[in-house]
Amino acid sequence: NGIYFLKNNMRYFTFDIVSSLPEELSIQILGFLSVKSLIQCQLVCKRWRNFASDPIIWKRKCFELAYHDINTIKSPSNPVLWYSLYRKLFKRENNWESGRVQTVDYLKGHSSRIFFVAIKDGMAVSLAWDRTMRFWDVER
Amino acid sequence: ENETITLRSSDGIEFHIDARIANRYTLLNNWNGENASLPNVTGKVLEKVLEWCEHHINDPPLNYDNDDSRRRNFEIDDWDENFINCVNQDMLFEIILAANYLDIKPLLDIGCKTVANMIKSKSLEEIRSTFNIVNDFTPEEEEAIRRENEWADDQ
Repeated sequence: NGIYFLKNNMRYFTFDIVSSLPEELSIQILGFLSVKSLIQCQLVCKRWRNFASDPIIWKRKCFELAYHDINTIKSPSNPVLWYSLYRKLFKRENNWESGRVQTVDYLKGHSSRIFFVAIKDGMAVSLAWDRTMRFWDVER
Repeated sequence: ENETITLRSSDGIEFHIDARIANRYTLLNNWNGENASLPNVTGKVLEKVLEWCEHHINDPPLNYDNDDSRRRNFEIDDWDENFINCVNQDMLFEIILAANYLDIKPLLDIGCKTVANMIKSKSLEEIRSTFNIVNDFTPEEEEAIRRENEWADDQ
């Protein structure tokens, strides 16, 4: 493996192989890279920036990141937006992992401990020991 | 005794190959014939591609419906690694084009991964010098992209 690395590092091109190939192949090559690498590729030159921003790549990255989501992610209205969607998902994952919360809203209503909550389509249902069941409009 | 078929490169060089190779990669089958020749692949390149195909003649058939498993796997096996490392940059370029044109997906993947391997774990300047690329961004544009990409540092 070490030898392989050495060989690869010693290989220099007299031309830009990535840009010289048909665009679909340039994108396929960059599609093998990590997010960190892709972001670096955007800084190489203008052509690489286009390849490394391609919706095909970021759509796949979105699905990889949202793999555990219960609801499959909705496609954005414009494919260009896959990249910004990825950024949002990335931030969400980061916040989740670091336990960072932006805002906390309290829903007032129950007079006793809640033992069940379910959220679907912007509606929440909560059941509590006060023997009531309440519906919440979470979007509001 | 295995059946053979004849392929002719764009520059008229004939190759007699095991019919099983052509059966694995259906597009090769289209070029089996008296007068058919592959319009886009020269003899030098076709020889390399067929060398690869011959080595992999007994590989289990790959399931290419599952795109993800292909992508997650960065590994290239020893024989392939040696094969691809022994070709020069022009040949690597030609092999990628030919594998794409002939729809030989595993070989296309090896070519693409080899280039991707040259990009990953390199600094920006190293990438530019490896691929002989001139930075065509103005300092302001570069700064703007850096600022736009700050989100990814947050981990």
